[in-house]
Amino acid sequence: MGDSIVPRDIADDRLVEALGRQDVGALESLYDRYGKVAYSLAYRIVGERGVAEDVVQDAFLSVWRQAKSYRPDRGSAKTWLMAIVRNRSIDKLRSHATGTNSVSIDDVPEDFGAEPGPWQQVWNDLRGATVRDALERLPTDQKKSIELAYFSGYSQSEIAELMGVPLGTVKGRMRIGLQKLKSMLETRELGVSGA
Amino acid sequence: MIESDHVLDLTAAYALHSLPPDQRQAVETHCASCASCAADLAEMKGLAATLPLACEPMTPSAALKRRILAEARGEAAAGQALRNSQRRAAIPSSTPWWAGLAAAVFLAGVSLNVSAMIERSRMDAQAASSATQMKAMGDELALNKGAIIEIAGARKVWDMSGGKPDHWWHCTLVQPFGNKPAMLVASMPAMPKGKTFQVWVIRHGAVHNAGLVPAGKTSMMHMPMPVQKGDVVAFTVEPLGGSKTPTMPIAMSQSLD
Repeated sequence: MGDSIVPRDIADDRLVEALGRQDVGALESLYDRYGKVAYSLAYRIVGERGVAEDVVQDAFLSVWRQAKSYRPDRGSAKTWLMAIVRNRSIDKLRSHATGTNSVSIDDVPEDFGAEPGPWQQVWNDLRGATVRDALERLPTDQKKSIELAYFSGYSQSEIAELMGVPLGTVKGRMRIGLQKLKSMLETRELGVSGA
Repeated sequence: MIESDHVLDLTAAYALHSLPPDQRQAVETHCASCASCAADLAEMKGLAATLPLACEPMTPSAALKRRILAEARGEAAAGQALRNSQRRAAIPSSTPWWAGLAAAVFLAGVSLNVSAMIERSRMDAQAASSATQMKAMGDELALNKGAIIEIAGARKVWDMSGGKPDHWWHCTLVQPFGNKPAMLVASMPAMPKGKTFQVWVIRHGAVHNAGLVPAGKTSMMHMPMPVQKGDVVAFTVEPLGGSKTPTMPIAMSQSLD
């Protein structure tokens, strides 16, 4: 327990193991790696700095408190953390709407790949620019369908209604949009781990 | 949906959190027994997981990191003390030191008339927004804190807060001069029927019962002991009447600096 000195290149999984032992130094390392991305995501969704900070604080402390139940085979710490940030941000956006207020460790997206180490921030920034560029290059309808779902929390049925198109069209736009995203990221040698 | 149907038309929406719960469940059920759809779902999840990186980079305040780490440190200290306490509770022990102190304090008749200072919150929580509630709470606590300081004279005052906007908690802990018992002004979330907040002071790894928080949105109590730098003040939700040792996980805690 307490603040340990955590090696800068320790893997995320090991960090979460240390969180399970209530190692505050590990939490600090996790924050240094992903605090900025988490905040950027929360701010993108909620649009207010104070609220975004509340969300990020809540998310990091959730990971801290639930670290013992973490299972690396379900996905990386980063994706777990981001899923919490995203869902809680959407909850804030909906302002007390119903819906899950936490993300189970069993509901973690597959990892996009974690590259721990001192270059993490640089790598995050580079990836961020690449993903932003790829998303911008998607056809507008596909991009909008993805953004309304992920960043605004709309269901596919709601998106169909908002955009005035059949549900099947929205399903197709989401799927094709993500596939194009994959293709563009692969072209830029930014692989996406999936299966 | 028939379980044997493939779900490739739903995996993208699943990964984007855009499916209603019943369809999410259907996708999960199907993918548990269909390798090709499971692989597709994993790929879609991996792609969706890149989206946070697409946000314009923003830098949070430096205070955010400090707040997170301070809360974690408090919980770590409190958790360790709680575990120690629960281990000790399994072993018969003599009356804890604070029980005698508490009795002495009450028998002597502490000069501060705490009951007269108990004040219920007047704000209308139903009508006010979370931000308004918090501001009203802060204003009321400022008044109470002023009253305490004026009456008791404070050697040290700590403000503690946490939780979420819709059930925010805020406490002001006052340590008067002269080694008198500490006083706590608390605005706590509503408790379920039959439950109460109990306060614990954790010092050098030992957990001391510091009493029950009186019911009410804003209330005041005095604790059976002085508090000092390095103590951790922790709250648990206990059955009405309280418990001798914490029986539930710590709901919130703070280190006194």
